[in-house]
Amino acid sequence: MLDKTSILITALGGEGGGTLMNWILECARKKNLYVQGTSVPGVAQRTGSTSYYIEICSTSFEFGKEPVLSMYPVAGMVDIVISSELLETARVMERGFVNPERTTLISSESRALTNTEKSHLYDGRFDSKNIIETGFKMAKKSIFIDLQDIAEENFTIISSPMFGAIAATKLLPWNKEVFETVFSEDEYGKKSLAGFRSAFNKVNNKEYNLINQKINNTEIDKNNTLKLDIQVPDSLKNTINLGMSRCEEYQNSSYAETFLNRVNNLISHIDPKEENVFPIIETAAKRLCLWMAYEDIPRVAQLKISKTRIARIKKEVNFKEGQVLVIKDYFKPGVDEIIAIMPNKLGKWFSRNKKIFKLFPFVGKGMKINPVSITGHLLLKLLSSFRYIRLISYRYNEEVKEINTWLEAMKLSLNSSLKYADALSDLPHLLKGYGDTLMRGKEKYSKIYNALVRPIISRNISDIEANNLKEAISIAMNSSDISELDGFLLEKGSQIPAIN
Amino acid sequence: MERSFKKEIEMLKLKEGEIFEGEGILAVTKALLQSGVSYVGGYQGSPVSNLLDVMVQAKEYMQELGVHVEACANESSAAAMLGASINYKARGAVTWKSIVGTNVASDALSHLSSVGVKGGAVIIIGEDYGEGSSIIQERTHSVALKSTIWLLDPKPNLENIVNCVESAFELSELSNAPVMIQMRIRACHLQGRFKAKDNISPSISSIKKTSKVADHNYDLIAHPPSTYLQEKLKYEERIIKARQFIIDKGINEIIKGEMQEVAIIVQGGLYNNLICSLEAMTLSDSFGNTKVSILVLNAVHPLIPEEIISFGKDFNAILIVEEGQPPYIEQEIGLLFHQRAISTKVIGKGYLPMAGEYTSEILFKGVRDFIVEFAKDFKDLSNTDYISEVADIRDKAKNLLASEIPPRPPGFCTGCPERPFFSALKMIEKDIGKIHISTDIGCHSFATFAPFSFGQSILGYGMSLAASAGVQSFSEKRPIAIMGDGGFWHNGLLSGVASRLLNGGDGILIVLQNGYTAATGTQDLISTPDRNYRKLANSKSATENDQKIQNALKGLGVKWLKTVHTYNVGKVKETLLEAFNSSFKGLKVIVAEGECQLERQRRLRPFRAEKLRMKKRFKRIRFGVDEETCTGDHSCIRLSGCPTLTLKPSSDPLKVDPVAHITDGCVGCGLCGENAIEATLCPSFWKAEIISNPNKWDLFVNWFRSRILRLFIKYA
Repeated sequence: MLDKTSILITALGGEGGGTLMNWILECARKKNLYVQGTSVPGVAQRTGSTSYYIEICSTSFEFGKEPVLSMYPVAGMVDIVISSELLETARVMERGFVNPERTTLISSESRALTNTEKSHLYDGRFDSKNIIETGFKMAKKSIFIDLQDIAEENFTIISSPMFGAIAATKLLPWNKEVFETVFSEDEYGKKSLAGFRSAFNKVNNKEYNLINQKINNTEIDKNNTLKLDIQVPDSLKNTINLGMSRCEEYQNSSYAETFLNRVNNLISHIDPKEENVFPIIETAAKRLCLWMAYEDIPRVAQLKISKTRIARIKKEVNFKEGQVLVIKDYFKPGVDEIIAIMPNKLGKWFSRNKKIFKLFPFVGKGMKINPVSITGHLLLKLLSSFRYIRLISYRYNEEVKEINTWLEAMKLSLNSSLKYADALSDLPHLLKGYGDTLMRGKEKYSKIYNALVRPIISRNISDIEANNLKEAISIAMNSSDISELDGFLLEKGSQIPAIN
Repeated sequence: MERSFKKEIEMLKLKEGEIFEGEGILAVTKALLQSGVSYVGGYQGSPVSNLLDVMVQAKEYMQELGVHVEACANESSAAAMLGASINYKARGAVTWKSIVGTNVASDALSHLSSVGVKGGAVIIIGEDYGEGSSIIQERTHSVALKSTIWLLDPKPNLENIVNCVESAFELSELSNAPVMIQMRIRACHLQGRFKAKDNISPSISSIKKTSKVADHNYDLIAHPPSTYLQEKLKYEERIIKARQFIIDKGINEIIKGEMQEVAIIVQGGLYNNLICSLEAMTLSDSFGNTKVSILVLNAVHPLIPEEIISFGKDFNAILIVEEGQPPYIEQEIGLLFHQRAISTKVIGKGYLPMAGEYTSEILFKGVRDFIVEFAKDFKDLSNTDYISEVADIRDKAKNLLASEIPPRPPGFCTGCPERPFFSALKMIEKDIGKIHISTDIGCHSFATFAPFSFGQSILGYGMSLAASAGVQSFSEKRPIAIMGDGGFWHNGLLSGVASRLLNGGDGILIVLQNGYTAATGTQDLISTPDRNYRKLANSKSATENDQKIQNALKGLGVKWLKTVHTYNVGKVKETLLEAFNSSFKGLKVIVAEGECQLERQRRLRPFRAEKLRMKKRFKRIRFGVDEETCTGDHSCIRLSGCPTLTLKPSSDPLKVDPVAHITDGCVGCGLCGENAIEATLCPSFWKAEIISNPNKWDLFVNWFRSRILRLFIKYA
């Protein structure tokens, strides 16, 4: 058998996969090794998946006496797989290119989410951890490292850290100096070289496969002075604390007290000795807090002029000393948002007579506001001060009714079925966003509530009903077509005798 | 086009004995020059775009050699260009992506091949088939058969490809027929080497012009009665000469193996894959010394009956390794053996799949099954469990990954000017309901993928308006047709617009004008913004001032014509609604312009670098999302799909859903802001203008604002 090394590069269009292939070819040619490379860029140059394949022989051959090399990566017969992106790594593994007895897998830990994942209403991301764990099991040796991060740190693109990572594995028959000859002397070349060296050093020093250390556990405040009726786990305490400070910032300290009372009220309905009861309370507390701190005009305005915001934006856009920053915020408050902050009765009247808003030309028009300009800042300040009348506003009244109904249902279900309570605690997850999104969420929420919660909540609840509720929430989250939810509710809801 | 092929051009200049190291399609380009080609033409498309791009950029050198290079308006015009070789002893080569390009070219090809050629006429076919293809899956082989064009399918190593190109010209001249050379995707992108020869300056060329006008010879006119004679010539003379040449030159290769029972006949292009699969079962070494005999067809049309019979007659069975359908080679050989009463079994499809690319893995299975069946006594196969081993690896990975891997089709680039148009269309659809959209070939066909998922049909390049003619006749709501400026000039103006106007039909056409044939690598069009104008436009879109499309439409008699800038989403919406609701019965055309962002960025990069180097004021624009106000429902993404508008985990421990996030790759195109306003998205988007080297006014305003605000915050 011919002594050769096969390399499969998988990347996204525009990431320099072709450059990486050419660098490897260049090195092999410099070492006078017979080499061949092929690729299928096609239209995939536009952000789709691309792949490049190289075979490097361990010797040179005379013209006309060369071996026949493969045009394709062959499943199970690839020596090195290098991937710029984690999902593409999964794809390569699924296609059989990573052989546990043969393949060294080098993969960036970074993700470039696909449109399918990004478009999801809630969270449609593929499980990254699972890909890495699969890699550990599928490859002879696997190296997972955030090459995208290294590229960004060095102001270069991912191909150079990929090249560095390959170099550090020492699987290619030339040394680091040969690798480094491919980079040009200009500015781009220097940045690429920096990216190459950074990845080389990290892989060389075994600074990879550190994924588990990266998961940042939410910091738990040990000096928690929160007083609760019973002993609860730290993470729940932490959540309650977070919720309280959120509510205080959102409204005032008595609003935070209201939040605490509501949670305490829920806690009073549980048996602390029961297993898995606290996570339910924790989810419910999170949902409750987000619900109580719903986004309205004053809230958005308040956040836009928060003290830390400008500094955060400066960091995000790589603002440097000596530059000038101008910011434009995009707003388009709709009729519903304006009604929301009106005093209750006024709001009620306007919500029945929305047509009247057509008389006001400014309503429903887009605005661009610079929060660091004087007028912009003052306008936002003014809008944020509407929070002082929030507790008498139309929307607040509507939300409080719903919140209380849900809390009552939570209490009843905590008494009768923890499984059901678990499902119910996440139901308010459906309520989020603004405008149409919020309306859609509310519609789904009330459909589920009316079909699967209201009719049964005062009775003994079975596990089947808990499962139904869980599934309904899952359908509401995962399907963009409301009729799927309607169908499910019609089928499952009808089994329950209606109680008047 | 702003992309530079400087390095590639240098490789075209290599001299006798120097080593060419590079890509397959570039090797073909070099081979054309080594063959003394007089004129070259073609139409861009993967995988052969580079051939023309390099030659167009190497204008100076081509002029030096006397080679005329023409970027044709479509494949039809490229094929017709070969007509020069009918009357003159000048070598010509054209190139395009097939099957689509061949279809467009086929009228001229039929005429050309009927008459026959005096000078070598070679067509470089980018056979866009299998993985990485962007078109319908059909074979070019059928066109070669029906038009009597010889078809070479060279073994994919550069030395052989280059030899085949050189031989193709000789073959064409000797047999008076045009020759196609079929290059598969991976062969076009194959990185290899060959020993170069000197380029030949053609004997008739743009620098050695001929004074002699060819005589009028009615036999060389593709018109009856000449055509009756021409048809006879094809089979009485040309094919006989061609076969003789192929034998004399040894174009096809026979590899003798020890196995007595079976043999293989393979298309040259699949040779490497076949050898690799044989190597995996130890039927071959790495140098192609095989145990099974193989006939490698570098010429797949015409076949040489004597060669095939003498190769195959003594075996029990031969396997025809022929990609795609119908299996013309298998049919031809089968019929030949039947007519000559040769008992050797001819087998192809059945052991090998009818459709799809023949990778080494697929060939492994087919060849193994074939040998096991027809060479029962042969025990020397190894690695026979390979297929099940690979299946196990795949199953294991699939099980571990647990869920389906989401697809990653190509999409609009960051800042693509076509994205805002589709955002607007999506908003409109929400108001007026579903619309029948005839779509077309070009970057805009990426709108058929998520998150837009638009379009009911694609009928070809520039065909969308023609394709909506029938639909609009019976639809209550007006259907729309979308085409790019590439499609418009390639075919759409005549097949679509002229036809609709001729019939006085109603309809809506949107021409997305990005200034280039962007999907194939931003080649120039007749309406591509002038180079000087592009320089002036700097960071702005350079397409807004070119009126060629509008003038052509007006000239044809289009009465309802509007032009909008795509980034003005509100205006796009308004104009679209106007077209839908208009009482005007007739063709309504909206030209939606916005320059290709790839080109704009290529121009902008040196511009920005220069500004910064000279310490001049430069404004960079970037968009961002405020995490606190983003509730993570991702409706902004469903209206955009921009690669830089993505998600990140929420840093708020109370929220579980990922939030929208704009990465550093943002080019500040402005769509996020437009969508936030036009679609009433959440109030999370901000636009940052970062001014480097600010002028005094910038600094004053900045100072003034911060002083006042500081006071205000202090006393408020």
